[in-house]
Amino acid sequence: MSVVARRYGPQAVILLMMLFLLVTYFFVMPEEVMGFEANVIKWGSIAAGFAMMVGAIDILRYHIAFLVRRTPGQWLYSLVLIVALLLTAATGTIGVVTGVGTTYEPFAWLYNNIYVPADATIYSILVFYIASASFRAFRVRNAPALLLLIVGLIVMLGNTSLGYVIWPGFTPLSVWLNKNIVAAAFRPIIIGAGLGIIITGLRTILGRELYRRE
Amino acid sequence: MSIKKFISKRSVDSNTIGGLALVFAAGRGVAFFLLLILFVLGYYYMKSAERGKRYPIRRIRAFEAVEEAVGRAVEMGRPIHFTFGFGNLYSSVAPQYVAGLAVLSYVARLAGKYGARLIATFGVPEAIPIVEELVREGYRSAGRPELYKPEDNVRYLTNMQFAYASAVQATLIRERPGANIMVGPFYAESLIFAEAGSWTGALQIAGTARETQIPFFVLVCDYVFIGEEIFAAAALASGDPAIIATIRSQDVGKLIALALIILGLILLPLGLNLGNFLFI
Amino acid sequence: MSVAEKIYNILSIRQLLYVLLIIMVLIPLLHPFGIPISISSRVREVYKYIENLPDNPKVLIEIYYEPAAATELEPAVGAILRHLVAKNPKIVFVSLIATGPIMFERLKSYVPDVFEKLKYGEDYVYLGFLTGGETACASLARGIKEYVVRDNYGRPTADMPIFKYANKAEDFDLVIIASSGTDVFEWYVRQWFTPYHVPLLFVALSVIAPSIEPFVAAGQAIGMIVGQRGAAEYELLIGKPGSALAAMDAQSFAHGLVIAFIILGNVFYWIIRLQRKEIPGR
Repeated sequence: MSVVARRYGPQAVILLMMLFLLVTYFFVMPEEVMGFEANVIKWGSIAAGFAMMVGAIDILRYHIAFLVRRTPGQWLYSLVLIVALLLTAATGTIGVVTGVGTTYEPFAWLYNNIYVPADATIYSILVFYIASASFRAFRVRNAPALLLLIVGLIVMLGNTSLGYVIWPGFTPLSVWLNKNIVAAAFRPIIIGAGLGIIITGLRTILGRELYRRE
Repeated sequence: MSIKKFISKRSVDSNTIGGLALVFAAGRGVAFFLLLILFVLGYYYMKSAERGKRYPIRRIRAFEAVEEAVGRAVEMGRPIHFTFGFGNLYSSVAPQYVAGLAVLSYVARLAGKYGARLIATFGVPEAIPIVEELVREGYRSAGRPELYKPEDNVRYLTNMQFAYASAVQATLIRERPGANIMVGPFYAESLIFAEAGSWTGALQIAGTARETQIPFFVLVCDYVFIGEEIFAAAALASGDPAIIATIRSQDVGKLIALALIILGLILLPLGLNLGNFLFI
Repeated sequence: MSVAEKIYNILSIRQLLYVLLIIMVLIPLLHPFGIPISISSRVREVYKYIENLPDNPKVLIEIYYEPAAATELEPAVGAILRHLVAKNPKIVFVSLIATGPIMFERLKSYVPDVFEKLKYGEDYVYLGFLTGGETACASLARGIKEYVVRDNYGRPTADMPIFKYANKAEDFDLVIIASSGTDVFEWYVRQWFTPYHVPLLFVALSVIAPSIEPFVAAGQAIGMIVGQRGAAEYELLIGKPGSALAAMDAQSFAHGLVIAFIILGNVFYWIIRLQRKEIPGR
């Protein structure tokens, strides 16, 4: 493939798609064009689905290597991963082919009894991490740190029934802090991030992405 | 009065504003013009920079710390870990992945320069070829192509949130990196990574534009890019003055936002709600 | 090493904190203490709004969370459904996230009493997972049965009676978005509230609350229920205690332990610093 096609071909596709999506977002368009736009968005989902397949193959390749080499301390975990991946893919595929989708019993069992508890467990680890991080980080070394500690304690106590028992005012104070102070602090970050996204979009349209591709 | 009638009474009838409703989708007319202004400004600054004008941006301590972190990892004989999040490239946080990839490109070049081992973990399947190319190119441009090992340097994990979180955590604990750099859109897993990284004694640099996760990074990491600083970091990572110049248009955008807020505050006591005019 | 330093070092052992946390969470779960909770103005406003909805309200409910977030969001959605069902609603459930269908089945088993009172196709329908994110959200607003020809179970939507009353955005009295992320709130603000002024109610994780507060403050949403605490308050208001209320004691004890460690850590930190005139190690 020529350099022109390799470099400018994808860029032309990106430019056309971005301009099309911008125009259909801002302007009133006929139903047929909006229907095409909905299909374009679906193409993105389909492409992402294929990318997920590539990802799954990449994972398989990576872990099969560990299995083949019997890498100490790793190969057993790789075996578990490969079996789990293939089993989930197989049951999911059967569910789709038979038309029952995610309600296919074996797939639903795997999901509800293995994936869901594992997902919840890792999410729950946050409680331990936030506790140890708070213990280390809420150290009163200066005035702003003292303010942070006081506000943090008010919000924590306001969020629990323990705070209500100690003083009923913690809850409304916590809500007031969230509504007026925290929301106000978040607004400029949201605005700034939005502006950054717009300019990144401009750079993508102009083919000036931040990483070079040939 | 029902809520619907109440809201419609507050709204401006868009048909009275020169037929804008005939052209623009509901509520997007003013937004289009604001976007156009930002695009034109960004383009103008980019072209000015190409002609030689310079638009310096302030020091971003976290960006300067990246090279320090890489050097520290090399001295300790430990690898560098980089991650930029999970998900897919067509989501609304895709620009944050782009910023993360730009910083990865910079870290890969530094890894090549110092001869460091880079481990890039991620959960975006569409980004696999991009990450491979960036890391390979980073080592190659520093004259160390032999250091690139795709099975070691580039690790796609999974695009399911907590499976990704668990895998990155395990990578950090096993590999014990000297530097842990996280730039991209992170969700609840941000604290998991930061805390696991702190246990290994890694120098941690993190950045996200997802405002809910910034406090967790600030709490635990050594250096943090806050919000839009990740886009500025990505521009600095490119080293291209034209890209750095576009940051100026973000600043102008902020001034416009500030002006609108002040105008809204002035109009409110007069009984006028600027928000109604902005959503024409 | 002084006594203060010894205590500080013991407090700094993370495994000790983790074990104590597990104990403090387990005890109230096994033996609830029933510590009273107050009801915030935020939740009261939402309760009043739903209470004042007309009979047979048309409601769209977006299920946009994964299993990890279900513990916080499911109780809130369940409590709202229990409140709504008394008004004979017409409810369209939809998910713009792939885990939505599984979460919807879980929701059905969480509040079976609600779904026993509703007839599928007439009183409620579940459209399943729709790809396309914000575009799907916009297409739904323009006409649900035109956009989604088959529901989650493969049944055609064209003849479903519910869509005679609730098809386009203007037909709906309320949209409830239960989400573990922030994006979907913005989608509905842009695609349902801004053009059609459909009232929105946010059900969110407590960590997300500050970033969606601006929408509520600007009047783009009628209110929000945040985290397990908000769900517990709502359960109290409707007089039907559920899993959120049951978890409040555990939440209080865990918070109390963390607060105690933070305070003790600071106390001993300063004792050591004053004794030695140098900063103690981590």
